[in-house]
Amino acid sequence: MILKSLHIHAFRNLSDLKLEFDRQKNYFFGDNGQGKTNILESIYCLCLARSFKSRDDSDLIPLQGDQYYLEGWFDRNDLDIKNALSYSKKEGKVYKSNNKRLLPLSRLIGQFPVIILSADDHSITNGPPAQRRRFFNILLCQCSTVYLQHLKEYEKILKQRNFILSQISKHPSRNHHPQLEVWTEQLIQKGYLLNMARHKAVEEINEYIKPYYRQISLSRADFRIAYRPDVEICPDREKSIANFRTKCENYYAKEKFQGTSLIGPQRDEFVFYIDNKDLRRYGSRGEHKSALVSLKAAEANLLQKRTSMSPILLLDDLYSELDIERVKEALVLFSSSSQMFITGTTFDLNVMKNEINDQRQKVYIVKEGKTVVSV
Amino acid sequence: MRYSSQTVERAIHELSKLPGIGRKSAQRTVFYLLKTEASEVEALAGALSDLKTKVRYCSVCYNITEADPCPICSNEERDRSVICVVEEPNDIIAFERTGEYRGLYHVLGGVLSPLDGISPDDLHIKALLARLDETVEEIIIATNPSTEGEATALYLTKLIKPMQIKLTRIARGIPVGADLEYADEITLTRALEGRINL
Repeated sequence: MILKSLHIHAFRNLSDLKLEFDRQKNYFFGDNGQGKTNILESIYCLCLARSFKSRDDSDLIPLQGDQYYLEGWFDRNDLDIKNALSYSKKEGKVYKSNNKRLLPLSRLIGQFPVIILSADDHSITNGPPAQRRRFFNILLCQCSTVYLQHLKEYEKILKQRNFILSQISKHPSRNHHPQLEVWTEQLIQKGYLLNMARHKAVEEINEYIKPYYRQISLSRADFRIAYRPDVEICPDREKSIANFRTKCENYYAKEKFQGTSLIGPQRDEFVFYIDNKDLRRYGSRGEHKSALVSLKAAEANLLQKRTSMSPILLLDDLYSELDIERVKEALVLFSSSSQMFITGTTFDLNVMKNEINDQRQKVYIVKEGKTVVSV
Repeated sequence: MRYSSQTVERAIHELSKLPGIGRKSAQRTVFYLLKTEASEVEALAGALSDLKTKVRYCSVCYNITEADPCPICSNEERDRSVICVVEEPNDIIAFERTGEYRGLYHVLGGVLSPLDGISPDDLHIKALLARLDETVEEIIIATNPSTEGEATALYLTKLIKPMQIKLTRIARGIPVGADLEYADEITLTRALEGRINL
């Protein structure tokens, strides 16, 4: 999938921008605080109708404005698609694809696959387990709407079950709740589906990340991900569900005391290993960065395979992540099929000047929310 | 804004409490009624107040009715060996439109949802169990395929299974008349899961 052109109106510090893009590489260089990341954010919003930075859309409106408007022309499997997203405090979010309103917005997930690599993503490799679950959830939801649906249903079931457990913990005399058993059964059935989807995704990603990591880190080290589901799973469905049920029974007393669910995929962990040592505990800065970049490349590959569409890659401040040799390797890795949007500082432009001589690219200089085509 | 008549103000206020009706639609309705013949407005008012005085729930199946038991429960032609369990009275209307189902119904009056404070005691489950004598051969659970509907179906299964009565759940899948290509992924996946041997 390709983003051919973009019109940004009153989005953060970008007052009015019309940009045409190359089908492969697009660079944005400029000093800090000029609006480079905001351009990437606007592309992300057009693909998923939400930002990767703010939860609240009113953050995206400039201080003196009352609405933002984004419009992008995509080329998806040789078909032109015009997507427009607007937000105002009065009307809320309105998303239109080829002038037709799209509702609910969750229908958009997976339609325009996009991947972001930004400074906040370091928490995927060195943050708490919730960050890794979030990464895999976003990836799998973009891969399959069936996963998205299962996840939504699971979260609903979990909420209901937690409410029952909190009621029991508040009134310990009422040790029995008539509905606990049926919500537990649903938790098991849906939880198993999430476990299996995550298990398969990790297996597939492991096939890609090993060579990717070697290429980016310029080393011979082995990078792999181990999926540690909270409840052990095995190929046999009945056996896995029986495992789940046994674990539930063992935890009932504790759950009733604490008033919340203590088992299930919401407690899964994904452990990253480099040469069999736990990256999160023992990894160096460089190892973290190389692992993150190769993980994103593997994510792009998986998305492409599952959706038969190449995702748009947004690489924010790639040069601060890797040194120049590794950046070159990373760009080779990513460029195999996807369109890329890369930001860097003015300093990076000077460093890259000799490298950026390829014809298949566009270079923009961003200054105070405006852009100038360069090179 | 304030109207010159307190009565108009009150009518708009009451109408706009209804689901799907905002203040503007309520205002339009009220001004339409003001222009309408008095007899028609009285007919409407009468129909509305009759809702509360004449309509009640069937003491057997909890369908809405004016005669107790309801016409379905008292109809001798209907098959008394099958009971279809639904969430709300309007689900019965949907089944009746098919003209295919000749058995009886039982309305639960909702679904289990701890967050909304709905427990088994709030649904007509005890009344359902009380109906299960030797004449009943099959129970069809027709709650919606939502998480709450499934939880309710599971709960009923747990209660009824030990009673040695045939228990079935309605199938989920592709709507008839719709093309496969227009079915969403979730529906298609569910339809695949529930495929049958030929």
